[in-house]
Amino acid sequence: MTRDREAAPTETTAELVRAVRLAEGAFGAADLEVTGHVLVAARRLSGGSPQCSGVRCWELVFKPERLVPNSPDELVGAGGEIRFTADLDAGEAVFTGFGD
Amino acid sequence: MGGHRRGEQVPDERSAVRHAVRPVDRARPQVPTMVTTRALERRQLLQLQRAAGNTACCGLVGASRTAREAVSGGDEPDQLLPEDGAVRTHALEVSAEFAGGSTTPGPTRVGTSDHRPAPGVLAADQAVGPTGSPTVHSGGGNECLPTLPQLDWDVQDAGTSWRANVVAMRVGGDIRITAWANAPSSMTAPNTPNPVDGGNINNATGSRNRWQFVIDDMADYDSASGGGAGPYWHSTAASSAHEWAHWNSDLLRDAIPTANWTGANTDIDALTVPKSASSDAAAARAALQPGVDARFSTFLRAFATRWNAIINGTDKPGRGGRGYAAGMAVLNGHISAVRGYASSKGWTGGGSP
Repeated sequence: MTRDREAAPTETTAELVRAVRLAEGAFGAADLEVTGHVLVAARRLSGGSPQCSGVRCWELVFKPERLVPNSPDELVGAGGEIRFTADLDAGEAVFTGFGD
Repeated sequence: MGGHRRGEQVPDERSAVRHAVRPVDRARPQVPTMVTTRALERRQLLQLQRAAGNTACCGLVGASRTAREAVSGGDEPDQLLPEDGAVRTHALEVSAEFAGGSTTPGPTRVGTSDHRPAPGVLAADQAVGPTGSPTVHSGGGNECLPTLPQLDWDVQDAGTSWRANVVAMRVGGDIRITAWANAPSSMTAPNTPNPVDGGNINNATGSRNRWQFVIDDMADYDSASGGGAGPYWHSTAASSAHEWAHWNSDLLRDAIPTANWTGANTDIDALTVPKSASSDAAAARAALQPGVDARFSTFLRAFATRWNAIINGTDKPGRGGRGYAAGMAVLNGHISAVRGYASSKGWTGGGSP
């Protein structure tokens, strides 16, 4: 495996960062606290979704930090996911549900 | 479900994606019933008494040190039974029964080594099954977080040597189950379906209580697109089934055996030190400790790797996880009931409002 230096930001970088910021901003609208949650999954919904006006659409999953291990020998906690869909064209993210 | 929700959500139209979630005091969900080690021993003793009489039975009895396990989610029981006095039993089999789990005791290995018990004591070599249960919490999300198993072992006299003997492998952790909104007679959502006259299912165009909308929202629970609980229709029973599937199936039936607990148990039981090097059991325990720790640590690493692979790999909608399958099975019951009710009313059509 070749380890390269960190690349310069690309359009993908910018989109993902913006999607995360939109989702983190949507915690409050969903009566949830962003503090104590970490991003565990991000996926571009390349075909769009019912929650998005266009195709610049991202699904983001957060999880309580206490369920995320600090080392490979620790156990990940099942559950706790909070899901958002970020619509970059509309500049908003919506809470779409929980995991378990 | 997240553990940082600020308050109960009013299920209005604009914010209906927000769940009415609140910690509630309620009866614990159905939890596994543990058969105590003591109960198994007593059962086995009775069987032995019937089979061979008290003389043979008494040969199995020594000094008591056996721990009793708590009923799942309950307080630790008194470790002494009045009628037991100070009797110790080396059980032929030690295992536990979990609701929905295997009731097959671990393999029994008797007389397969050169172990020679002290006169008057027949200590059966044994492989033990996991014992223990999670602490169940109401509220704070829907989660299952086991702790790393803990090992209990002692030293046995093996004639010219001392040997390690696994007494128990204890599992524990936390399960959190949060009550889903349940207003059986209210045409609101989020809610738990109650498809009866006077319930919360209708055929009104544009309503989030419309029967087909209710079905659609539950049907995508275990699908990769839009899966997960709700956002409008779900049930506490589905969440409970999901979390207990993590415990009973992912943990007890998969992660522990896949990490080769049986092999670890066997390896630890095979560790010996000569009496010429350790004059008493305390000295032998100190001498055996590094080997026991090393083997158990190997098991723990394999266990953590397997558990994390299960959760990270499959505990997502549509990924084949056992938690989602268990929750979906409960939701399928709701879906059938809603569909049956709609059919009885002659309702057709009606998807998203």
